[in-house]
Amino acid sequence: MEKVRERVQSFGFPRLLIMAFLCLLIIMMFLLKIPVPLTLSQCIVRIGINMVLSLAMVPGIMAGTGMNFALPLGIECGLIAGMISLETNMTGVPGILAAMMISVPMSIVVGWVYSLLINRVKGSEMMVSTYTGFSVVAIMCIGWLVLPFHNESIVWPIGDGLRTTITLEKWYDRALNRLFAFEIVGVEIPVGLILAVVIFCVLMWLFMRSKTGMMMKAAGANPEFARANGIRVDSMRTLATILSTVLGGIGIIIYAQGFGFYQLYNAPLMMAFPAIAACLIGGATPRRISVFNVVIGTVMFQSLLAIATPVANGLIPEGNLSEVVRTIVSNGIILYALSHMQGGKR
Amino acid sequence: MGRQMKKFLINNAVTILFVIICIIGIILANQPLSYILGEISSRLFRNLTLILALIIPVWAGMGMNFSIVVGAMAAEIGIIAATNFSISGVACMAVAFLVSIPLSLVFGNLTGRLFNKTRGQEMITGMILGFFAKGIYDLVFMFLCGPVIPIKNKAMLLTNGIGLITPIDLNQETKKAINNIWKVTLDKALYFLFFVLIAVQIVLIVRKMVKNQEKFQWKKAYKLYASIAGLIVYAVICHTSETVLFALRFTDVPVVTGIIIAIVCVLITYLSRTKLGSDINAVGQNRAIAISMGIPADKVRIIAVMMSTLLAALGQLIFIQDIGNFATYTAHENVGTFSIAALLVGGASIKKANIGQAILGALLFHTMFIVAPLAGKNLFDNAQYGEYFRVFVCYAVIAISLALHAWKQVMAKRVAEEAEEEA
Repeated sequence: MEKVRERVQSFGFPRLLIMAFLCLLIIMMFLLKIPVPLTLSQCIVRIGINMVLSLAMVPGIMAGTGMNFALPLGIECGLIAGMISLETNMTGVPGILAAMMISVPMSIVVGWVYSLLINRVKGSEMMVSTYTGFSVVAIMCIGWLVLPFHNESIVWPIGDGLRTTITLEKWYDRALNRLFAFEIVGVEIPVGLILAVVIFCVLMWLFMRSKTGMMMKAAGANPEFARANGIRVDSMRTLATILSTVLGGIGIIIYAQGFGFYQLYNAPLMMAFPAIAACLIGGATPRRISVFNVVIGTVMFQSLLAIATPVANGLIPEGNLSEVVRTIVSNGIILYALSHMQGGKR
Repeated sequence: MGRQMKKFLINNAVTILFVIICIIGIILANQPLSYILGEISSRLFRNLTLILALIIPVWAGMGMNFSIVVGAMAAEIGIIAATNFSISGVACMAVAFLVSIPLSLVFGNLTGRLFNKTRGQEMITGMILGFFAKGIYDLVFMFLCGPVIPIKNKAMLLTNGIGLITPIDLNQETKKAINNIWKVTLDKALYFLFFVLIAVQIVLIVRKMVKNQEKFQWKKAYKLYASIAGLIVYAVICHTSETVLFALRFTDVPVVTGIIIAIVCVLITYLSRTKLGSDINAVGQNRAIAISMGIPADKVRIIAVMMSTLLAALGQLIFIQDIGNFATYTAHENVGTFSIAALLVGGASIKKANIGQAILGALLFHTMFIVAPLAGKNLFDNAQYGEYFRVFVCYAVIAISLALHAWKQVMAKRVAEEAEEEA
């Protein structure tokens, strides 16, 4: 009995609660006779398109800068790159790859500039990064109004600026999902998307085991000790921030193509929170993370949301119950993680 | 002198920058003085209590209390309860406040306990707590009201009987109920304010003279001179400028709301002179020393958050009665961010805040808020520029203040370490 309690404690009570809730939802799904293959297909897509955004949390936590609340920085870079790809009418999978390519140099520059800030505010990274992210989203709202995009399909017909939501039908709507896609008993398997996600996960896994990755982990775990061993802690933090920003940029492009829309203006404001929540649900803490945590967490969190939507609609047709569930679950798990940082000590 | 000047400029960079932004904005907005004065005055009375609610946790070393959102929710629950029983007028506000007192105290207590578990990261915790509480609030009022929680006033429910409508309108008698009790024009209110200031100064000086058995010290009474000079300048302006006088007469000031704000200010000042106040300060300065002095630090911190949450509830009530309605599910969303940005603009920091900074911040911040869209419209023929700009400024002020503070702390630590190594 004692052992069980210990297990529960190390696993975390909220995680058990979330798992129980997920099981309940699955049971409800069968009770309400919701078409399982369709829901399962949606689950897979949601997991895939959110995975890279969650993966962006790994370098930051490794290097000790904590959860990267400034993910919107990378997202904005990805969005600009996406807009460039649409402006020049790139289509299909090559269009997506081109958008990613364009986003990377931008993310590197932005990430580097941002790391200058984050290396000067050690100990308060989370708060500063949150509001840096918010500020950048707000200034980019003006950016979307004034940036010189002219393609008729992406700007407002009347007035200034880009549209709030841009559907991707003309360019690369679900192109990656459809690549090599096939169907098993009604469940669509988006092979291209899964491949892309697996590639990024494996790359990150390899990076964590590389020499640089080890040094980064050491810098995060014990900066003093790392410095004594000749590791340049600040460079490690810079590298981590750049990596995280780059992943954010690529992540939003994968997200947008799978979703079918680019959402501009205030849409990226809160995007860091579900990504962080997914990692935490998977067993990561603000100090320790693995690719396994990210994968498990994203699978659990996104299937929870994917199943909650039809179940909630079956129970209460009006209102957005799944959105409320998302708010409570994602912020609840972040609060839990914060309260277990040993009295905020780092 | 030059060095002092530089220090002053650096320490008050945000405030000075804001004064400049406001002046440019007012010029660009090109609006009649009466309009701007009226808007600023009404926004000042509307928002000031919410900003004042932030001060006490700053003293306790917990930084900006992002969780005043929870207090705002308590106030909204109070109004929903009062509207449910179809109470209107001042009684509605009184009932709402009575309901929100226990709620906000309980919420504040829980928040304080959570903050004690996340010491050093109170601000991010408070922010996430605000989002989390919004989720719970939505769950209760969107889905449980109607099927689970009985609602007497059917007009508040959506047509299918599940969840509250948005926005919730206060009826004609309740709208501005507190503001409408007693109104005077701004020109009289300012005269009154100057006379009160002078009277308070005189009373303070006389009390000091009696207490210390000393003569009147002409040199030390500069605050009194400033007040008198202010009164004279004001009287001269009123008598010479038609436009100013017209603008002042055009603007109404809600006296009772003003009195409530004054009481809050006096209570906060009084608190700072009590044992509890000095305990709060001690905990904020250095927790370890405070504990060694026998101060129950965790308890003091909880009390500070509870007071802040209660004041936030009062502030949100004043805010909503002035507007006359509130978006049921989103009215509390920006309460924390806007209030905090305003306080920081007034020159406060994560470690220091006082009533003067709150008032100055409210004035400057809301001036910017009014003129930015108008300026955007005049400059680019699109009010959106200004609207996005003011949101950006709001976030940027918080980001810059937090970053500057964190940077100063890191630098101080480094200097201390270097000194230690040398020794």
